[in-house]
Amino acid sequence: MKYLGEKSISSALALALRLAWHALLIGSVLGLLVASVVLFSDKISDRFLGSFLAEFRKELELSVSGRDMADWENFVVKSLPLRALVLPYFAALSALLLMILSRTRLVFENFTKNIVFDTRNAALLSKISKLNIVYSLLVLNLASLLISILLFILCEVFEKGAGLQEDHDLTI
Amino acid sequence: MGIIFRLDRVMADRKISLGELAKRIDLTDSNLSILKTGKAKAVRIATMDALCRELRCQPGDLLEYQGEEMVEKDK
Repeated sequence: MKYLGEKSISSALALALRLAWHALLIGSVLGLLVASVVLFSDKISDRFLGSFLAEFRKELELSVSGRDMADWENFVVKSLPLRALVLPYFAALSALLLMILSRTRLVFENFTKNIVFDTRNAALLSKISKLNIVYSLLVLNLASLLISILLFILCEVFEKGAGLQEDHDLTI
Repeated sequence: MGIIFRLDRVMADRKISLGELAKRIDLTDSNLSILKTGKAKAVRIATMDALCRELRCQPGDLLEYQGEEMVEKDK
């Protein structure tokens, strides 16, 4: 099984990440649109879109159950400005995920081109780990935070590897 | 770094081109160019051996130390 170079696991992952990036972009835009409509439907639906949005909202309420329903009920009784804070939160999460995915794709594209121990990869890994730290703090995920620390260590390894690679390339 | 590779001077003395020398010692033109321009970080003993053999010289003819104090003395 090939891990680096053309037609390897790296090239497959680069392609998968490219597709995931596009899917996430479309999903985020659609998700934000739907969330905006649901959030502001109290104000605009009756006036402009009639009963359509109200029905959609009811269906959405019916599709969730149990604890989620209780959370949803708690959420809908909050004031509109407070509810609207969900939008920038999800927009920030989506933007962070898109940036993480694009940089991860670049790393795997470099692996596909057999560029492994390179300062560019070290810089990309450093950026990914910093973005991942912000993401894990936003979603309060300890596992993601641990992955960020591992990525920082990997970044150091790649920096040392890049130095050794340079020494090797310039040894005649 | 104070060590300078004097390959260009020895090559000029022996009237040999970079391509010709590269072919004789089985190196690529780009690698020999790195050596000639002083960008190399290290030189293998095997490479020095091949260079000395083809250029009929001693390793000392190819290398020169120019420390700061030596540069000041020259002034």
